[in-house]
Amino acid sequence: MSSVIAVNKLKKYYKVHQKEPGLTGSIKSLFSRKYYDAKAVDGVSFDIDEGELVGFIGPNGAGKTTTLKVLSGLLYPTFGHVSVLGYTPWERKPEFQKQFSLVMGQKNQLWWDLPAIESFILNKEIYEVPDAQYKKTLDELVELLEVADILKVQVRKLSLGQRMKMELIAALIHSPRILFLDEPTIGLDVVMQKKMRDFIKEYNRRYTATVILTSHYMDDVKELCKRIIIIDKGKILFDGALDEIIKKFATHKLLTVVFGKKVEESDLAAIGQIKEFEFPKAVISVKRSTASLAAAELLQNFPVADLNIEEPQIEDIIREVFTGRDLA
Amino acid sequence: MPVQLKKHLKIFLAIQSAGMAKDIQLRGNFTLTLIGSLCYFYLHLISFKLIISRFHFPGWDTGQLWILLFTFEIFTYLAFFFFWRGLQLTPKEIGTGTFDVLLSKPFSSRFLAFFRNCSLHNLASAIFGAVYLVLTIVKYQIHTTPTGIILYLITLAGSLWIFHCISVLFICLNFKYGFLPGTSGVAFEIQEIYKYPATIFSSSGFLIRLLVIPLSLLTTIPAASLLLKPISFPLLTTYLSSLIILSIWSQYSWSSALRHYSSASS
Repeated sequence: MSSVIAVNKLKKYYKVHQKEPGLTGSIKSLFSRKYYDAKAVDGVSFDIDEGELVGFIGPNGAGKTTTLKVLSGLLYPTFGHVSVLGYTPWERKPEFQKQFSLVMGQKNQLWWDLPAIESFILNKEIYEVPDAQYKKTLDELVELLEVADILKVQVRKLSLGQRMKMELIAALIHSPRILFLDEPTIGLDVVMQKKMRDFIKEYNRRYTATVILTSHYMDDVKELCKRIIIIDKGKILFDGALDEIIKKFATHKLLTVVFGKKVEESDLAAIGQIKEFEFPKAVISVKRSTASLAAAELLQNFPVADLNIEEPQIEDIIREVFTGRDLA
Repeated sequence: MPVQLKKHLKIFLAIQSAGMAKDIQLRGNFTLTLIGSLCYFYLHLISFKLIISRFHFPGWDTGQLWILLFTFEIFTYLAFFFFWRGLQLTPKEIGTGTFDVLLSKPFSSRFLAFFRNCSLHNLASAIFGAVYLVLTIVKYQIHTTPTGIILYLITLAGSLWIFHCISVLFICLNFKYGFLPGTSGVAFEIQEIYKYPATIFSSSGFLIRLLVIPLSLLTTIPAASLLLKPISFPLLTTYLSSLIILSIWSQYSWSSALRHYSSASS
């Protein structure tokens, strides 16, 4: 497969004004201001193939959204080379802009006081979508997202979930080849989150669209993305398959034991780090290399009724990666 | 070029039809702003009567002055009609990062930012101004020709374009210095300048002439065109130079301002 997105040593620095607090600080800043360079993205490189669905994850301020904004041509980078579909994004050529869509969960493009259909018509004109294609795409999207009955309802009267569905239709009416989704499920309830994920998965499958998704919800990433890029403080910490994160970062395994008879917590301390203890259940963290030995020791020396050896939760691994702590 | 023009017109009409639908849908708001706008129009009329009865402007008789003042009225309300929403929203959007949405569209971001949904109540006032302009022509038996009317419409469009370019220059400051809400109304706040004939400023100092005359020509030139009134060569040159220089300057400023756009973090 060919790369549709190529990013090489991308850097984006912002000059940020630091104001001292209070009125005195404000008056001082009238005459003299202190600035510092905030490194939003600091030497990021990656390639994405056509049809890939990639999760871009990181804590707040990690540089995810800034990277997406550079890829969609909204921001000029400080340094680096970026090619999206063979174009340099910040040249903002209309023929490039017609091939992608940026959906931001926290910003909307729909006209608030009008039914969403009016915004779709406007987008049809802006993206120069032929009438027949517009009708076909709209029908498909309306069916996929099950919104036929609310197309003519004022956007302000829609629930957050319904509005997000409409935002997606507005973003997809020109059938983009690349979709940048910046926290598309933010604020939605679990049912709506699931529906959104199903839609994104189906859209990716049906149109072979390349999708980059940022989200703070690990369920989004786990369900949708085979590949993830972890970014923090503007640098990539990991780029690979979701399963590889466990191999790379999880140094421990979790033994979940159910005891048949009373056991003292202090007796288990020699096995590993006790994460949870509430008789009859205990969860013990042990080094990956000694997991089977620890399990054997438990079975031999304790009244074990049930024993499970598990990988830690992906959320926990990623959280630990960000905080830089040991997973034990 | 015609293809581009056609596309601009198509998008403009799509924006306007959605915008008007919105305006009319909010009936209460529409009615109140319409009444307010017409009250303001009549307040202007009273002040015009005072100006005309108390002051004398060399080279302009009463009928001609009324034409100038109604041209001012038409111009001001058309400027409000076309640009006010864009001027109000754009600095806010640059500040909050919502401008991302416009910038990612495959169309002129300047056009999308400034030609938002026009406000219908201002169009109503502009139409009122046009009706009074026609009544003035009839009442004072002012001689005009089809050429004069065509020239009037062309120069009025030119003046609106100059006004737009000046607004763009102010709005561009938002990209570099962050949210500057005051930049929305600057071009409107100087409207007193283009209420009077440009010729009255001719004897002022250099700086006044440099800054004020180009602005006062925004209404003087269309009014003079309709009246088939001869315009001095320096004034005509100033008008045309302003049109060209501001067109180039505003386009350059807009393009370079977009480079400074830092969006807002989500």
